[in-house]
Amino acid sequence: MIETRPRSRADAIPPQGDGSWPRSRSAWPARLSACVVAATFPLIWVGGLVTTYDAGMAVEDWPGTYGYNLFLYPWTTWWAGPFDLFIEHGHRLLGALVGVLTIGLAAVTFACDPRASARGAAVGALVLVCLQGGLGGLRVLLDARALAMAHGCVGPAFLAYAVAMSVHLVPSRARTGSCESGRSGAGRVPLTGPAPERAPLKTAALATAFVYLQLILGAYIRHIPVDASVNAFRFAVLFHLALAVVVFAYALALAWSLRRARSGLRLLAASLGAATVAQPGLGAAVWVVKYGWPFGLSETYAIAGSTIVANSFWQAMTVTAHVAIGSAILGISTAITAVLARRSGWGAAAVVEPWTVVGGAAR
Amino acid sequence: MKQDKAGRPFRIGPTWIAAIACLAAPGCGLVAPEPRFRTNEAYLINQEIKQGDLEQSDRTVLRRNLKNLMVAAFGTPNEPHVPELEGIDAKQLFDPAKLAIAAGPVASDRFGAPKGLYREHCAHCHGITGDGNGSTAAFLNPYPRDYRRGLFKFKSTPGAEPPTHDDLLRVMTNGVPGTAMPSFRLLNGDEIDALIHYVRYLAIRGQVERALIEYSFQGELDLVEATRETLSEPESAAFVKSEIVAVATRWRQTETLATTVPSPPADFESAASIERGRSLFFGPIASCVKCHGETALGDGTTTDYDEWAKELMPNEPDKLARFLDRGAALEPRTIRPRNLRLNVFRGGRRPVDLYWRLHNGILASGMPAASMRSDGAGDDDPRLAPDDLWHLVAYVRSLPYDALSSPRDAVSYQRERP
Repeated sequence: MIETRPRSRADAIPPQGDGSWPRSRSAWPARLSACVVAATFPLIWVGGLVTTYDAGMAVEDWPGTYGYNLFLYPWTTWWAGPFDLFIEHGHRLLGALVGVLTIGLAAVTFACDPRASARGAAVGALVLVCLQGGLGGLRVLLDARALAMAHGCVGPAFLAYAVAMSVHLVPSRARTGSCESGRSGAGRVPLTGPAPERAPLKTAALATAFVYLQLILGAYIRHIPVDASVNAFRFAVLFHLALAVVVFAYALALAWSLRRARSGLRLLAASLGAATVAQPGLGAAVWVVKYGWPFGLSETYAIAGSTIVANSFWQAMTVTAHVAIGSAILGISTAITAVLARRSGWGAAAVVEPWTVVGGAAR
Repeated sequence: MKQDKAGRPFRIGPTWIAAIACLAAPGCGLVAPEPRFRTNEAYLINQEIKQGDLEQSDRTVLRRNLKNLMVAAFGTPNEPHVPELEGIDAKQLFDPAKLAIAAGPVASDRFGAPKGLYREHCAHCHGITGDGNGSTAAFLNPYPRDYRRGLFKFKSTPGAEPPTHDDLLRVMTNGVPGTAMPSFRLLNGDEIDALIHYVRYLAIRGQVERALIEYSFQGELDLVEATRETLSEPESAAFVKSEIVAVATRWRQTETLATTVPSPPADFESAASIERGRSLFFGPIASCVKCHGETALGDGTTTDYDEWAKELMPNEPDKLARFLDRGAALEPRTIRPRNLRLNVFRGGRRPVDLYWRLHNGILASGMPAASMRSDGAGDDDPRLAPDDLWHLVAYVRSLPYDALSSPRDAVSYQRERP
């Protein structure tokens, strides 16, 4: 039995006379939250494509598109128009979708989840998505590459936030129900359980922090000012490489330490391991498609004649995939961290359902 | 000591440091000033070493005055312009409409017409000034080209003459295999054309700047004592303009200077042709073996520097340190003669490309032009005839298919059985 003080009045709704609870938490906030995550990942991918093609200024106004309301821009012109316009306007539409989903998430959370922590998280998501949209808009209005970099840093941060929030909003087994009726759901994979050792959680938290720092460095390299010094780029690249080693070690150690975890967590760990193994190869490929073969390899017979083709499909896809997989690693490591934190009782009152904490009546 | 809620002592550990770094990093560097052309610091140092050091205050004044003159004449990276030049159709060299497409920040309009092409595709390696000192340059081998001397490697014109429009077009379309210079064949013709005009603009700008620095140190143009008022007088503008005209004239005339390539002989690339080329390769007139090595693997002389590096006085460590300490240049590298067996020729592998390389040399990188017979000279003239060059081309083109395992003078180290 876990004894935990409720964090707020909403958390401390008392049981009814027969020991049952007036209503269980709805699964809808978690579902919507998952939708936000699902929409944010492709948004980051398309955002990476916008940077790869330097299409950030393909539409010179904001929030509209060439004088049209964002949603009313003629789709035929969008689809048949220049590629730069296609991806930039597509990025905006996808961003708007994420914004709408986040608004919906906030509304549903306020309607269905009485916990102050959940509501606070929903408001936080709303603030973050507004900040991200505003940064994107300012990047266009001011034509500031530095703001594009900040926009590129906040995007993955929002993804990580949405992932952590999803984990936070998932109700525990046998206590899910609709917002209105309070019907119980069943058959969910429990995210709560016996508290694991503290080491994986610490490793997971550090891995997540390092991955995010790595993404910031990557964003700097991609948005480096056009008149930056040689040393600025050299430092960023070398730091990026050194940190890649650290991230690689931490992420693989984390994945390995969770090899015997429950199936959901094990799947996350396996995904983290796979993405982490793939990412250095992608990073090396990015260098090759952008700057050619390093270390004198271009003098070897097999690849001596290779010529880089600017703006080629493979160049764009390789670079963008490296960005997207980086964000995926961040998302997965954040999910693992959040799950472990939830299981270990971090912010227990916010996580553990009221019926599991007060006298154990509901159990 | 402060304690957390659980009563544990509060320490700033790696987790906190990582978290703080994560939060702080995106906020860094949000304010970026408008890019500016950099002064040719390397040439200033070079001239100081040669002509005598300046006082720190004089150096500052010279740099400021030079910058003002250059901005008046050539504008800024966002708004480049070139003054009207008498007697020269400047539009052929740097069309303002094309400069506007290539210059400035990256953008495009609703029809997909791009702007800022130079920053999108070139500036990170070649630098905003075209000094070959872009942010990525240190990692690249060879270093990106410094346009400011007007020297280019792969061209059809002889010696130090500037490249023709077609030469630049060829390099931009095909790229330079085995290097970081990409092919821009996916850009449309107008976009490549705009980039060529802008590269020419940067090269001419750089050449004029060098000339003004030189005149200043020689006393023909006083940039140390000059004030903003004296520099804005018509005489100063006329002086700069005359220098621009002189440089631009060379670029205009170069279009007529492309080396004419005669037809190859009838037996070109026959066994006899290749054998003749081989003898020339090892012979004293062409003497290719000296740098490219006996096996043509590029393992001959490798201690020389190219023209850009020579300016840094790399053989005099004290002087070189002055350039490097002030961040005016990258660490110079020695020339690496080409491995001719790779079947990869950076300036193109067509016979005509190789003919141009042999005939004109690659001056900037130390490859000399062939010593050619003058018109009307007889067969007793030991220098090379056009057919000889074609035979050399034939031999060079045959090298990738020549078995290295059986070189001409192979020595058997295996004892014969008794």
